[in-house]
Amino acid sequence: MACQSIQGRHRGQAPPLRRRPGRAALCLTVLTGGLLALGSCHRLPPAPSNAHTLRLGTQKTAETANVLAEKLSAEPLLVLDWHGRVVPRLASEWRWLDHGRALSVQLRPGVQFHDGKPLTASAVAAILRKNVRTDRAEGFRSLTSIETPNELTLVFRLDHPDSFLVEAIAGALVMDEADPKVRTGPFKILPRTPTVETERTPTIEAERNAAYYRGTPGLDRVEVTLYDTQRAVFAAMMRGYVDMVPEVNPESVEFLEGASQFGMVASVRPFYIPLVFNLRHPILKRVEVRRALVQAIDREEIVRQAMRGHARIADDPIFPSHWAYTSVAKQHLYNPGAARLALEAAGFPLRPPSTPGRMPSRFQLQCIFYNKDFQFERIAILLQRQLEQVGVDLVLTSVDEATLTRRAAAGDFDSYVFQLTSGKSFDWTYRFWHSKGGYQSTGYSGADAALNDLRTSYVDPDVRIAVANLRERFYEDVPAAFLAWPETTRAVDTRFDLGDHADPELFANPWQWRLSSTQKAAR
Amino acid sequence: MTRGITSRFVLLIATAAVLPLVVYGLVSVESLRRGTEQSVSRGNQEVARQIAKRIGQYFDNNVRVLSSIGEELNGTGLQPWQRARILRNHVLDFPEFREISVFDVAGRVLATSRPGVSTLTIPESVGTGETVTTTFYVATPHIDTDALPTTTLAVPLMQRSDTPGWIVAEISLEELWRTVDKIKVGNMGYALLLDEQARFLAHGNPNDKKLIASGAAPAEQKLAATLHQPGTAFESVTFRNDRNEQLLAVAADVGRPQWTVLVEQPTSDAFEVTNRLERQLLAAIGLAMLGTVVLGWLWGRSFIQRIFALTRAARAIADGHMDERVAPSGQDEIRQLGDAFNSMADRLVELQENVRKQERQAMFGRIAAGLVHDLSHPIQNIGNSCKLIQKMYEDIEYRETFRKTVERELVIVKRVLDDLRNIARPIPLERFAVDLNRTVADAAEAMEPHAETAGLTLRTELTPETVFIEGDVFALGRVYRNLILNAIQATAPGGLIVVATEAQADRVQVRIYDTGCGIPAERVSQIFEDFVTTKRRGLGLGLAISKKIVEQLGGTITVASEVGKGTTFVLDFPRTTARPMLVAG
Repeated sequence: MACQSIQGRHRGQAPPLRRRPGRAALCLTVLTGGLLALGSCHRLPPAPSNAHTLRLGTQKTAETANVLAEKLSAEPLLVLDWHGRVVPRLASEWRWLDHGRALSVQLRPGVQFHDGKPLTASAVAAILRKNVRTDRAEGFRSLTSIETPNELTLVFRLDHPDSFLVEAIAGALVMDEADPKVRTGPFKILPRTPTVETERTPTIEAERNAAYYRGTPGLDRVEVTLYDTQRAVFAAMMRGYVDMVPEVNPESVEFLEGASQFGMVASVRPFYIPLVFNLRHPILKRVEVRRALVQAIDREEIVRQAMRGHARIADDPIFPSHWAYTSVAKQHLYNPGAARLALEAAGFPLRPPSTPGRMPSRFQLQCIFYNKDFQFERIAILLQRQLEQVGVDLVLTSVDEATLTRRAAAGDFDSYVFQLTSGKSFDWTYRFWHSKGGYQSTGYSGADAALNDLRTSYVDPDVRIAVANLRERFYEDVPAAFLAWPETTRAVDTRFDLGDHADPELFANPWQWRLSSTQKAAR
Repeated sequence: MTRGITSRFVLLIATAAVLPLVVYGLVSVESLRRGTEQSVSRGNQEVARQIAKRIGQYFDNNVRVLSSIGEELNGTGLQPWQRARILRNHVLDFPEFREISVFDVAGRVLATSRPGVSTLTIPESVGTGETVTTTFYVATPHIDTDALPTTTLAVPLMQRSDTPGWIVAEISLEELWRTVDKIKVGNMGYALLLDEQARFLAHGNPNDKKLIASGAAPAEQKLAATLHQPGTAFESVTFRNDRNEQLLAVAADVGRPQWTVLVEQPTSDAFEVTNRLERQLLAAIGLAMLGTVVLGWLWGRSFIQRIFALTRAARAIADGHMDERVAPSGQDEIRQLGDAFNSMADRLVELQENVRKQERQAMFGRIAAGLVHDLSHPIQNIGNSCKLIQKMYEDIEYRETFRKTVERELVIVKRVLDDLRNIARPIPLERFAVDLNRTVADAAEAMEPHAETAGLTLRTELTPETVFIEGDVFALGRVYRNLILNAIQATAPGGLIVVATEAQADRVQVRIYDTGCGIPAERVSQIFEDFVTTKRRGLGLGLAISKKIVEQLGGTITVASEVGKGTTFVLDFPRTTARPMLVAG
């Protein structure tokens, strides 16, 4: 969930409008939103203030609090649904003009900010002009101006056609970070009391926006409490301190499944776990080596043994639920014999260890992984064991989040295991895997042309062809061993009903959250 | 009465037929209940023992695995990377192991499954060196950084190892949750696992798993303490949990570690079969009882139906339907009773006819005698006067006397005849507001000469309040006159007659009492009947007519009398707020 929320948060990580991307370290920090963060203490959340309050418990990451607050209180003009289709939200419609050099967006009439002021094109334009300066979305790179021909129409002008603009707008919340009242969402964030925070204080408290344009929210309040780890969130739910956990760690899913007071919803997240190769490494820069390494990895075993089956095998970074994704694509199959032969052919015979105490190997690779999630440790150990079978000595080093992101951004690694976002758009794929996307320091450029094609594709057939070509490139010139798409399981106290379940995205419709009918009857 | 007989009849049948069945059923239910309780308790206890055994085996297996790993690591001269790989392979293959590390006797890490630094140490409480004799050690489960129970298993590598030391593993107890979760007893029974401090490690009831995180187990703590109490034979216990469910609990000791397995089952589930059989048996008994009662009732009713017919016929005859008879059926005693009843009814009709005949004759005699008495005197006076007038026709004074005598005696004859007519066909009354005192005073004044003639004192005692009633002046005068005349005739010379009025809130009374001879008690109740008199002669219509008049005016007339002391008649009338036209006008 945290990763998903990071996907929609672009501000604060990018240089101003039209500038080239900044350091990859910052980018990687953003991409780690779904990973477990190191915390300092265990917090006990409060008892519910009343039955109309939903208490949400989640894992703490660097951006979790802000992102959750924004998910509850702010909205973009357009949103991407679970399949990556653009859906109007604050806008009522949108269309391309001037052969893809301009985008006209029509605002939904009657929408108000939390302070009661009407949502007008000029107000939205002012907010977006300010926000896009710090937004790293690719689609805003080509933006030259935002015009407001009338109070319900916005026109985004580009210096060249760029289909990513729509996705960038879908990720840009209409909100003023300095003024929490300049938001339109179903809940209003309450100001934090400037007192000493106790261990029972929720991090976020939000009350309903009775004037919400899509309907009055079903809950009076939402409280969010952050915990250090997923397991700690799970323990808090077991104690009855929270009503909803957006992500239950895989080892706890079976435990919760039999409990009648929790409803469980599982879905694949738009995040993937790869073993990222550094192509600047003298061995890893050779594509035949990378392909051999990918062939040596049994992803089924990783999903089964390290992730308890709560994941789907990944072939590339294209989200499997995306409308343009097809199951027909080339795949690297597990074949350690072929991998050994390929490595032999590449000139890497099995040699005695150069360092005492190490295994005989063809070569040695360093691998860093995140140290606060036992799942990553198991994945790393499994990778080590599998690569050992083809004579590759994978030296594992566990590091904390800050070190991992710093080293990954600086290119100070041979390989690393981490969780990256694909999002429901191609924006993140572009940013991470395009050599000029600004989010990677692996030296990979093999998919640049395919990503450029994708960026200039506007109609569905063109997008499908571009996606197929991109996947072909990731197969031929593999930049990483794409391991798995983790499943996430949401647990919700059955006293609550989260409304429309068509979109697995938890924050798709928070205004529909309400007490379940049985709970209402009991009251 | 007949209903009582029916009920008794039914009760007799029910007692004879059903009571043994009820007793048998209750004894059976009790036996079944006891047997089931023992059986369920033993069965659950066996389940608990099996779980405890399985948990013990779980640790034995892990100890064996760890010992094997330790020997493998220590005895075969493996490279450090190989040691680490072996440990990591076990961590991968056994998900409950979060980490495995090998230590020398000094506590130095020789190998660890962790890619980084080992987080484990040799448990302090087991000691180090060659004094260690234990085969393995299980630390008291602790709440880890994620607030979930975890324990550490330490196995000494002392005897068969070249390098003595310890192999220590951190075990996530979530695996034990699953082991315990799989245990289902009956439909709703489950197993629980408590550590040596009686904190939950696993809870088979999905809705109570939160107790693992909170560690609360007040009821189960007591059970575990009982189990571990020396010399206590723990069989089974029933108790109520915080949801007020009654549970049957049995316990088994894991042994090593000193953990406790509890098997809890709602009694509604544990004894479901017994309860069902009990309900079925009770329902069968109830149905049998109901059926017996209904059959007994129907049979009883048919049996006494003829008695009901006799009852109805007797009531009909009592109501005057003298032609009512029963239709005898059957050949038993009730048939004889019916025949006897019909004969009795026939005879009763005959007797009644005879009585009526005698009454008619007596009545005719009394009327005739009364008429003779009442009319003979005036007729004789008229006859005597007629004889004298022939002789003294010339005497003018006597002719006047003759006229007066004839007229007086004719008035008497006329009054007798009027009385007879009034009894046969009462004269309609004209009701209007009348002054009660005035009507009483007028009547007393009119009767004063009669009283004087009889040597009596006639006195009036009237209420000072003017009271009115709805009455007929002439009819009332007749009543007063009858009553005063009766008093004069019943009172010896020198006696006293008082006519008094008395006003109350909404009633008014007229009392006429005398100091006469009084009426015998046995006659008092008959004096208002037609042709009944206490006097030697006369028709006896005066009081009957008076009573009819008083009741026509909405009043009542009562009498109290004592022989030798006197008689009091009381007339009671409702007061009226209306006033005579003359007064009102």
